[in-house]
Amino acid sequence: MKILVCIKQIPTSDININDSGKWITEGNNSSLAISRFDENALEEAILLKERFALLGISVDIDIISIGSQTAAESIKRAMGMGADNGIHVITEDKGYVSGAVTALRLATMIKKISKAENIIKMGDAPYSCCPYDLILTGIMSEDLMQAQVGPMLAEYLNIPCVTSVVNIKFDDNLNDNVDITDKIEVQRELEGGIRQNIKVKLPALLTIQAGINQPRYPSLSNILRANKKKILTYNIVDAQSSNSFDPLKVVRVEYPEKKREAKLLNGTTKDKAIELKNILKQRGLLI
Amino acid sequence: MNTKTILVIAEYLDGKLNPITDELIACAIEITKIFDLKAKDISGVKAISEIKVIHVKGINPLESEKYKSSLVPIIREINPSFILMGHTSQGIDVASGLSVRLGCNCITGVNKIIYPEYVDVGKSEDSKSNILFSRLVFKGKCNAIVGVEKPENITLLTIQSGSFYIKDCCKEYNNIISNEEYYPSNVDDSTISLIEYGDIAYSRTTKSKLNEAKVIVAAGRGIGDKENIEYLKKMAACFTGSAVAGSRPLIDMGWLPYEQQVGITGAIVSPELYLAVGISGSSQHIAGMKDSKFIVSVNKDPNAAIFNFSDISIVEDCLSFIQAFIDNIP
Repeated sequence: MKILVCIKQIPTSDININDSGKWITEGNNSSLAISRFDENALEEAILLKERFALLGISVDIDIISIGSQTAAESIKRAMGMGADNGIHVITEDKGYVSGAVTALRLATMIKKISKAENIIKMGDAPYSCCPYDLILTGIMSEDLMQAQVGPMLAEYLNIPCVTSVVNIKFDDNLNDNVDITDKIEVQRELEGGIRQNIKVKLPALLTIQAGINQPRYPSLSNILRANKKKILTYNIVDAQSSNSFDPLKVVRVEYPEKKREAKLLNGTTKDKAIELKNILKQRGLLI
Repeated sequence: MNTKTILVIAEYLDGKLNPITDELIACAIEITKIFDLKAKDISGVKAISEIKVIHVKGINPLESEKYKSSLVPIIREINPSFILMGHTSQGIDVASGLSVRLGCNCITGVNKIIYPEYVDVGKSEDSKSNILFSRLVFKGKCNAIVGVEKPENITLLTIQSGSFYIKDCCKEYNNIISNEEYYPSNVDDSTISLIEYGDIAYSRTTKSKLNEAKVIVAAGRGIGDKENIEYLKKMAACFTGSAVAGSRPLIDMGWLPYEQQVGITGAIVSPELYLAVGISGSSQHIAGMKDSKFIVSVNKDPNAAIFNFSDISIVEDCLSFIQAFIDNIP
């Protein structure tokens, strides 16, 4: 069984609008990390691998990330957590990339890789273009927050998609008549704590909501193993297709308008605490 | 002049119309107003536009693959300029995929419609764009103002809830709004047979006690460690009728039980005082607490989104501030 996890590296430092007003600059203590929901997706893939291993089914987890040179660190981290192989599509695109472009690039890469590995079995159309049984990604990236890439990628690969998944179940009682690598049962989250039960045939794409699991830390043994492995590296031109122009453009970036006064308290920590106390007393909120 | 159609896809759950639908209509009216303004600027006359609200019946809207397939021919027939759906769990499950099938533009999580500054002809890139759309990026710290490259194509928008409201002045647009029911038949799609939609489960029915609290002291990831919940409790103890709450990440990590979660997927609260400590302010959290009477936020990031919704902003390390607050209570 093969699982692909699509991850994105995002800035986690302070964000400021840059001088041109068209995009952002990262603050002083700049740091990068795997987008939180993608990390949940990865953890879920590793949990599936562990559960399948108990049933004697081996699972191979590939990681794909489109990003700058630094994204290699995130791929390494993912392999340290337990992924088997890394695919890095290098781009220096910094600003806004719409979901449609990223999804099409990923679809192009997936098709290319499957051809390279000669995985396509002709005659299985129209699903033969998906060399993975399961594709997982976060419900959205923490930076662009579009929630588009997953469902769009599923369309390009012509496989079913379920978004906002909070639970993946599968029958642990191995039954000769049931092929558990054929279909999985998931729950997706709606507003107000409502959950929808869904069974989906593989191959399928799931976008993972936070709270489904607690992503683990990379282990030393996995890191050592990952260091020996080579990340498969492509250039962004490899992922280009004929119609991959971006349908959207960002004309500027703004700070959201303040809905309330947001009165800033000044002075030392103690000054602020005392001032707040006084404000709350005046309003009868503190006795 | 051709009539421009704005298509609103009414959202249903369990046969009941979801309130987001009103917000979609309010947003459609905003777009109509811009059509009018633009047309007046160019030719001095109002634009001819209509808002079509469609109610898709006889199909479970939670069966997204089927729903997508049934919407495609309806949309092709209507051929609208804009399609509006909610940026809700349903909208997210359907919209992006639908846009690929339609080959149309797709902008998700729109919170504002902006009249283009096209009067600056030749100066800015804005001059080319028709209408601009604002949407949150970077955990709500900024809005990206987005335009489409090909305005002649259909543009599908999902609308962030809490962004548009039906106001009195909307009444004058009543005559251009029509409601239509659609009963799709012969939905044909290869992916439908691959997915079985089961029941919905109201698994978490425990009523939240947060609604009774006069003061809510809520924490986010900024408090750093599970042990620090104790500080939060001490701070809450300074107030009468208080309760401790948390943002979603805290509940996901198991630091507080689900009953204490504030946000779209938790409790919607409006206490006398909401004290947000170490909460960055995701839109899903804001939706759960923005109607509180008085909001005080403590965060070490001066650009945290929560400050835009606060009466009092305190840029401080959470724990140091809590400590100072407790120490200075007589």
